[in-house]
Amino acid sequence: MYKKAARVLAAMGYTDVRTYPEGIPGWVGAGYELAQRNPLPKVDIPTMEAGQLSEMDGQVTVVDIRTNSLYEMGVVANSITIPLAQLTTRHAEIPKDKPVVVVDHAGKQVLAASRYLKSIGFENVSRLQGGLMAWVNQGLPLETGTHEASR
Amino acid sequence: MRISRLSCGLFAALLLLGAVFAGAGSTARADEFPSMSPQELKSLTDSGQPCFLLNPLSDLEFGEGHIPTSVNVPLHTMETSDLLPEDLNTPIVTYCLGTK
Repeated sequence: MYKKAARVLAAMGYTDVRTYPEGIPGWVGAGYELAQRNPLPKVDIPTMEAGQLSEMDGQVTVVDIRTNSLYEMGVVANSITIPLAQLTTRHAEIPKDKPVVVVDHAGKQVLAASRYLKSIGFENVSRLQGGLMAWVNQGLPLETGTHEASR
Repeated sequence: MRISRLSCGLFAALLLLGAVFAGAGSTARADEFPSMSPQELKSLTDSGQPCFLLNPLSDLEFGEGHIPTSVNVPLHTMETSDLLPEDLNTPIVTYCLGTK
């Protein structure tokens, strides 16, 4: 994402754009401190395998937090699509009467999203292990996704 | 001697060309912006020189951990954000959760 951001800045006219590719892992690895802002409680969030999720048909709400552009790859049936960056403003779209399974592209962003949903009162939250990459790798079907307009 | 030098140079050029083509899919644009190491970034942020350190992740991910002094401008809000520097010549460094 650092590279996309750099391209947006260059297109906006910024003349001195640089990148720090190693990101947060590189910073921590070098022994430097991170700052936090309202960190979420470190609760455990159970994981679910793609195969398990595919058998849950209709019993859970799938919350797909990928970025808008990835929805074109297809979505799991009965998904609600809310990009992670919009979750704090659009969580009210998620029904509270069913368990929630959070899915992303590769399983890296679901923990923060799941902990957030727990923190605002969703009781039964789990996350898809390996993301939709794992889902697709197992040959499980996706429905046609739409490129949702940014809100 | 001259010929062998020439052919050596030609060989190197071909190798380079091959490498460029081989990497064209994913890394051809890797060097389009200057990149910094953790140590270089640390000295820059410690130096007090004007520099805007941009974190384009979501607000939730930013809250969970970010580099001190960095500013959160989620990617999809960048073009309309009023948090970015007004001076287009301000050095800006972007980072996220890393390349892996």
